[in-house]
Amino acid sequence: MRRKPALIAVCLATAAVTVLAACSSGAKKPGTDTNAGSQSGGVVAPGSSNPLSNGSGNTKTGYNSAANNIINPSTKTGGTLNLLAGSDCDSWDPGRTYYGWCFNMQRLITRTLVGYTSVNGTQFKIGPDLATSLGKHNADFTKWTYTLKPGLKYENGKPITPIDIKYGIERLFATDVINGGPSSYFIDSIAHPAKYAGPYKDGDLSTIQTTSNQITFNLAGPNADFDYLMALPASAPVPYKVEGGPGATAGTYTKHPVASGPFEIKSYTQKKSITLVRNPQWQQSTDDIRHPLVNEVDLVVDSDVGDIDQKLKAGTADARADTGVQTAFRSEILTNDQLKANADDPVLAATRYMAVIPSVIPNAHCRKAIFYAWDKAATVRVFGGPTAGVIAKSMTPPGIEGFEPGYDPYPSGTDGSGDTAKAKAELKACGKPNGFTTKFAYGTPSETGPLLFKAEQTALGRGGIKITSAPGDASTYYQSYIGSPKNLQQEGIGLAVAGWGADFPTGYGFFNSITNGANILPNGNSNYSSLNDPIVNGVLKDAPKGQTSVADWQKLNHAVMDSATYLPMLWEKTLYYRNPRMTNVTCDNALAFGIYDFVNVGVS
Amino acid sequence: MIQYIIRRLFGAVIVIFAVSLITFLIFQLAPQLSGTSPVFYYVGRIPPQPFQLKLLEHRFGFDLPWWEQYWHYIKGIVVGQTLGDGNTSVRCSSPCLGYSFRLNTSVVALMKAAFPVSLSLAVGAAILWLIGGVFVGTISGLFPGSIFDRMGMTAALAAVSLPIFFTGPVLLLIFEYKLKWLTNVSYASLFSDPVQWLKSMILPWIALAFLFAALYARLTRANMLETMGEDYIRTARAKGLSKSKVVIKHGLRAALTPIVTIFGIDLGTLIGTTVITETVFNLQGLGKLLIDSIRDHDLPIILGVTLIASIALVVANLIVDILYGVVDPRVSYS
Repeated sequence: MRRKPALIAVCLATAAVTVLAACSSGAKKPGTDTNAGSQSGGVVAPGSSNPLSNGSGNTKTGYNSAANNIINPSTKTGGTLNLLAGSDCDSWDPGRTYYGWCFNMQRLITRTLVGYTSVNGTQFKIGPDLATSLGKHNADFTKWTYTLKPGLKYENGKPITPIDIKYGIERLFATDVINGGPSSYFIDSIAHPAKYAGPYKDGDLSTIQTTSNQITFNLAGPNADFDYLMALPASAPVPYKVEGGPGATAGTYTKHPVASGPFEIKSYTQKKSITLVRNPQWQQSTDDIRHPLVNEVDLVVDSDVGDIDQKLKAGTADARADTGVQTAFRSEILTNDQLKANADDPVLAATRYMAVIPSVIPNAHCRKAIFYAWDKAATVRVFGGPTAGVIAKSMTPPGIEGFEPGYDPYPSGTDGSGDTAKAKAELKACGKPNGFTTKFAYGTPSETGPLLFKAEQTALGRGGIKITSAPGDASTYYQSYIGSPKNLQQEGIGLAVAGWGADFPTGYGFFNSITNGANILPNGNSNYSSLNDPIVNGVLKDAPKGQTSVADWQKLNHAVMDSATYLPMLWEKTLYYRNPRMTNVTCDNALAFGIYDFVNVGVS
Repeated sequence: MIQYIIRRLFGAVIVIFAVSLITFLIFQLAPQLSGTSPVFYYVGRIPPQPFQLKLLEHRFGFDLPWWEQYWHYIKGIVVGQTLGDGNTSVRCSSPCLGYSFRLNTSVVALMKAAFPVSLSLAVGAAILWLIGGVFVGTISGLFPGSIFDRMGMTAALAAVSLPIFFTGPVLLLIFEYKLKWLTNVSYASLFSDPVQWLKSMILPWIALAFLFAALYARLTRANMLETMGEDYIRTARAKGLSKSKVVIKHGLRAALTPIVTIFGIDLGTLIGTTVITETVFNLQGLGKLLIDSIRDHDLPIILGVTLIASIALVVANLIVDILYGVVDPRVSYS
């Protein structure tokens, strides 16, 4: 549920405590993309000091070159990186932020047990950060132990201890105070008394054990992806009980989160600006992930997003920290080669899809008729054209385990506008050769919802399928409108707009919330079609035990597509613009939807 | 006169009370009608653990009858209240208009920061449009059909037709990006840095005043035309009064009465509603605060800003009513 500002309306939602992965964007590049897959997997060895160790170090420049490479390599230090954002972070407390771009900013300030050594392209790598290695687990993935590196210090010179890591995670259980962040992952994963309400009320959590340099987590069940949880900013250390000092504890820790990373907060004015300067206590020798070059990072909030683009164009700002460029500047970039050379358009990690509801359209052939008749080319246009997305052929987005670029079970014709002949054949097989009528749900207010409805009304109408619009209030859309199977059935909603990405790029992270038959809830249900397929459920049951392979995820993807309950529409893209003076630039696809990885950027 | 003011003050208090009750019912209690706990709007979109939900409802007082909740809210405004964030107690001193647990700040503190911005914007723009609009309108009214009148009214028609999200970026384009006279300007308080304050405000003033001045010019012109045709103007002229005295003392003064009414309402309405201007020019005023809180569903802030905006409107109306007598002696307060 890591959020992207432009996607909030789509992604709100879900967030029942049981929800594991959530809607956002954050996918990787399709294998069909020429830039895809140049990274190789693996973990960077501790002690490496190569400033380009988190990428290929390719010196290629030009349009889209930072999407999967580190461009303008340089070791020049000093200077100030000037960033702009349309709004402030939801919180600077690492436990309470849930915006992808704020995760990216947390990379400057906070460190975690493990982190992403490579954030660009499609093959992300995680490696040790505060810990000496990735987590050591028992055979069934229910117990994970990490050993801290020696000599780790906060900005105030005090040592970072396993107790601080534990305390930071215990805070996430105090959901009445530390709210807004990805707490549910930790609460669901770590064993705890049913009514443990965090350290403020209930003190110590005995299932997390510490020694002078080790921390051990006892989990409620197997979790092979636990390292990925430890790579989320929410697992950053927080000084035990003291937190940020008087006036900056619990709910107010956001006013002074204590830096463990290479930058500390010099000044912060809520909703206006934040200035980060180098943390003198941070030592490069302990950090293989970050290789900071600039002395200062200034982030200014500018509500006039057109003004942000003008400043980017004029070179008075280096990059936009929270999202891509606006429509006007996008057009300018795409028609001006000079500007275009400084832009990137990485494919993000989310699939926009339609939930096709079997309780309303019980016959699979009728559902498949919709799949064939759907105009995916029009969908891409509705969401902003070729720089905003590519046609999705199946549910698994690029970068998630089991992605198959050539797998397209419901081809939409050569131009992506749908295959009416096949749709009609399916309608015949369904016993409704003249079509049928159903309702099309989307959240409102929404810029894209009504446009998508109109475009697909025409497309589906070619085969005789009539749709009527059923907009639902965006604030309750995912929770009780399409998140309630009963409501969908009562209202006769056969099609519902949705979008999904993973907070961490694993098959389980992507599919568990949206397809697991064991997770169907009466309210706040994120398996909107209430898919309950034995193959899908089986893979998702085995995954936490570390018993799944790429072939299993492909099997799952095929089963989801065969069920004709989730109709993939597009994998998102976003166009970003970088100041040519920035060095060591690459896109952070792992945490931030392709926004530049600012912690390692320098200025020439 | 005093009696009238007291009577109007009393009326204003009743209106503000009614507004506070209605806004409270809408924002605080309406979520419950749709089966959503207001707690969701207090702690963020990620729900707390189910067992903590009830505790939170109790902490925020949502388990009380609505009149008791309202009573606590009103009491908080008068004497302040102590709120718990679950870990420590937060003292929200009088006037307490609520506490944003999302931003960990009292609503009043947020408004204290935003109010001077909105006030600077509204008052500065109001002065500009009043002077500009009345001047153009008066001249046009005195010389109908003249070149000045035609040009003035054409310009006014154009200005009325142009929204701020058009004129704002055009001004920025000219003065910030092309001429570079006002680059990277950010708001500063009038008292700490008057020059910076002026630099940050001049373009928003012009954009906002441009729109309103057009309306005022047209209104003043119509009133002047009507007034200058009145019998008492002819009498004043017949008495041998100078032209300027006739126009200013007898014509303009009468023509201004309806302008004052509109002006008061416009000025009051602008406090908390200049969302587009504040967004275009990156000013963190009440309008921006309101729109941000609506987007974030941060109910305490929405409630507080709505209340303050309503009070601004009521107070502006009150001032207008009192000013009537000054502008037009024919108005009787009895």
